[in-house]
Amino acid sequence: MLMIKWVVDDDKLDEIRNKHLPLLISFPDTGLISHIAGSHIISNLKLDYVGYIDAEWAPPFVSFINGNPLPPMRIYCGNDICVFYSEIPLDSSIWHLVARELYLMYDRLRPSLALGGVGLPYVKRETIVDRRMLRVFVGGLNLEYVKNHEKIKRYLSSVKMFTGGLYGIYATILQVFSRTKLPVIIHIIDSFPYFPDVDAAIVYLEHLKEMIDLKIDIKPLEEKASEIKILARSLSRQVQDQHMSRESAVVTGSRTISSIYM
Amino acid sequence: MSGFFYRRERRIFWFEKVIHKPVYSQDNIAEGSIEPLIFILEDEETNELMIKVYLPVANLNTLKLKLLDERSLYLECNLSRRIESELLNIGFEGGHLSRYKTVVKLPKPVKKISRISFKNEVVIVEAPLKEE
Repeated sequence: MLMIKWVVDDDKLDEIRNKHLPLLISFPDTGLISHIAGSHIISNLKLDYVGYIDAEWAPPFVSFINGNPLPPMRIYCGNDICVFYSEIPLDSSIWHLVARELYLMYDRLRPSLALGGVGLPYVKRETIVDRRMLRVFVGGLNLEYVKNHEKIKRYLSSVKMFTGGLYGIYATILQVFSRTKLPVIIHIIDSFPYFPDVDAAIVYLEHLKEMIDLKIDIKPLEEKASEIKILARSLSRQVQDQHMSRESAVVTGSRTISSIYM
Repeated sequence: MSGFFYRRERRIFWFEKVIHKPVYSQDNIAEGSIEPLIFILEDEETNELMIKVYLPVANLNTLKLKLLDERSLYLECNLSRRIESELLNIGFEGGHLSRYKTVVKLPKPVKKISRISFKNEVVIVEAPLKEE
């Protein structure tokens, strides 16, 4: 049974469905790349809040906005894109459940493709000051089905394809979506292993702009970068903790674990 | 592609326990101080700890680093500008944040601070390990 509750009527959902919009899946993971990019897209493009996950297994967390509680996993849509947005990192025990909900939601929203971005943890990331020097790789699923979209096709032929392991919720999403013909494109970008990486998120947005013609202004994100870095500390700590708890309960001697590990 | 982001022999240590950690902030908003993000590597080749501290919006001229003992590193640094506490969305209004402050628990005893460098908002403290 679909655990997604819609807060808009069926006509609005049909309207979204008929547009076949790309769906950005925005979870906090290494570098908080998708998370920062997703937040910026929602606020900059003023996307409408259309639904949320209402399940017993959902984390016991609400986010208050002007006194109104909002669930942790929400769906926003606009004219150009939909965003599935998670406010907090999710425990690995529910990754499969969340991915399954996304899979079931696919039938209702019929997105043209699913997108996600994760950090490639680079331990000397601080040595890269110019964000244009960050390396960007792409990996995906059902890419043959996007080949009719000339722009995306051109874009995909211009970026490096990723070779390596992917661990984390995006890997689970890829596993679950392999049952569909929905193209899924995951960007993998050099990032601080355990610090929020606003520059990497900006690079991700620049690539999305180029790939799907997203009309988004990145300047406000550049201007707010300092505040976001401070604000995102707590979230980064939670991501750190989640990565480390997967590895071991001991304080020392653990090898780095992140969503991408080769 | 392997080996481009860190060497295999390096180990990563954490400045505090990672299990059952509360998700609420460890900051002391009442005194205007916040805790920076930190991660610690051990370089087995040089036999030293490398402590990386993420300090966005910091005024590095005010950076204070001191080994309190062989396993505790004190760090304090003013922010380059005042940040209103509302930014943190923790319900503490009317205050402001003015500095980073923390005591880093080191996973192994160190002799001294041998080098401090700063790159791209990250302070890197190198400390040779004490022979055990």
